[in-house]
Amino acid sequence: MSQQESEITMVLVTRKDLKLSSGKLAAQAGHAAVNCALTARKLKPKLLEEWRNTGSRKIVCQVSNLEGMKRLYGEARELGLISEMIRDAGRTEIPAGTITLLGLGPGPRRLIDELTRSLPLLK
Amino acid sequence: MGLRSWIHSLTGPKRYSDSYYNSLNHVKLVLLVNNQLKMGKGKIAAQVGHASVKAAMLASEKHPAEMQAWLSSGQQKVVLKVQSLVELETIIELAKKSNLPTSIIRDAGKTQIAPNSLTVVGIGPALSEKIDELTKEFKLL
Repeated sequence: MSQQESEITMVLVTRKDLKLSSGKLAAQAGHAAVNCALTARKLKPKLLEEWRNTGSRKIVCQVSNLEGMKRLYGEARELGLISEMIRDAGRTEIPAGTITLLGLGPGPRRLIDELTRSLPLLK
Repeated sequence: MGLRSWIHSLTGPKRYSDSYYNSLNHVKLVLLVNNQLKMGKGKIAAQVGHASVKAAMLASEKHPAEMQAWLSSGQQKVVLKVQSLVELETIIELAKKSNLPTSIIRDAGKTQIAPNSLTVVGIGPALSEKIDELTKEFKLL
């Protein structure tokens, strides 16, 4: 296994069909990252440690819509990956309860890449 | 108080007073983004993600009461922009003086920006009023 494949990573998936400001998107990403990390601490503490000790790799990419996000969530669950969908409280910008973001990992990059390979990066 | 509770009161985890817990109603995490760096939306999101995780892990260890209050009140996060590195460094100093937890994120600089750039500073989770004293002049991103 190459070094890249054994890496631990987190991927934050945003929705292309939602128009969020940079600040809003960033706050939601923070939320997803924290929830994923807390879940990891409970279920896979060693993995969390390894991820944090290797620079907490994190990338942000986009899926076209909610349906695509839910599909990805299901697939991730089936693979036993940590996956957390974030629902916004909706105090600003968008209606309450809107699903804004999906966090995957920390988990093996090999597995997560398989799911997210086709998704464009959000730069 | 029985003997066991008395021993527990000395050796058990420290309890905060009820009034301190009540004052923790408004706990938030503020994330200050270095707007001098021209980072894209995704880059900012990732950096804010880093800072949020760092702040949460630090708080779980060192400030469990604040962490608990923050989580149970919906993890409020406010993202603000700061126009220069100098301002950002000043805020870090002030936050440290006020004993507010800071989470400083420097980027490895593999994409978009120079290595080791200071990208985001998280302040908190801590009492809103205390953080506001330092950050109220900054605008929402």
